[in-house]
Amino acid sequence: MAKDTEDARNRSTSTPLGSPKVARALLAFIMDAADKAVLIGDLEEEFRLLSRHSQRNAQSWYWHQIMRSAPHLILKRLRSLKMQQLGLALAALLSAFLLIYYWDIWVARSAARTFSAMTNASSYFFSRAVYLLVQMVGVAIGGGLIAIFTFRAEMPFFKNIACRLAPAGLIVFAPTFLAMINPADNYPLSFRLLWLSLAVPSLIGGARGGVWLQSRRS
Amino acid sequence: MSRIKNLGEFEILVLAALIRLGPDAYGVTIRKEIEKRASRSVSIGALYSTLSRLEEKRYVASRVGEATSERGGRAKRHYVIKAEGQAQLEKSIRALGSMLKGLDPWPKTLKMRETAVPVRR
Repeated sequence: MAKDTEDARNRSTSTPLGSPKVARALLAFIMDAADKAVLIGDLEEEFRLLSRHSQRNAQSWYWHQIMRSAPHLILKRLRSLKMQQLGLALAALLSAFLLIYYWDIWVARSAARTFSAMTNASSYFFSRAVYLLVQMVGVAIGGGLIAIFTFRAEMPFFKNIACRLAPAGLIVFAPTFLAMINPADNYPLSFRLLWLSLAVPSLIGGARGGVWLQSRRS
Repeated sequence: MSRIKNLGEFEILVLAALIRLGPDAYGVTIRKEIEKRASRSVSIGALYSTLSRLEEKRYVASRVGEATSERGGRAKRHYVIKAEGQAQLEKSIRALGSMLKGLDPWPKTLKMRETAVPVRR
């Protein structure tokens, strides 16, 4: 009774609330572009009808629908992924992973050793700097590979970065992150921070390069 | 014997709703029809997932309708059952009917099953 009175007061005094923005954004994120507008339109239509009686109930109904629909929509989206696309994405991840690690072992470390031998410098700082620099070239090539194989041309660059490069980068670099936080490896904190602050722009720069190469090819 | 690829329970409900609603069938009305007649709560995600599967099987067809202000300017997608869908629905209902045939009356049959199963002590 008290709730009804409160709802009635809400209806008469306050401006009508819209459908929950966060819920709508969540739905838009998990849905493919083809069905997004139609499904959100259906929810909006029922939400407006319900909110005439109670805005609070309408909001909770909306959230309830999103929560119950999410598993179905995610499965639907996974089913609609073409196997070829999935294969390409996995190939890109694997090749980026192998490239970055073998680049680290064979190229970056050798470059640092050669630099030390050539300059006859015993400076730890300079050999580490060369090592990092060459390693970041490998990271950038890895980013380019991920972009070429997984980015979608119809998506804006930063959405591709958020939805494709970020998760792929996390997978590829997970062992490096784990190695760096391992106290047994004895990396100084400054080196870890420097590595991270160089790896992120290198990866994004590499992805930008990959997109540019692809646009030139097409 | 030809192998019949039967429809699932929810697919049957959706196809039956499409027949009932005719040209008015779209997400909101289909969901309400199922909730009203089958007394079953339906999420919009489950409904669209099923409709898209039925469309892939070519049992239903869809077209994008007009955008209205009560939908925030978004268009409706109208669904209609195709002849293949109708034939499949009939087959599935017939298969279900033949499985249920002879089980009447229900309480008696269930009672017989209970007594037929030996109780292990």
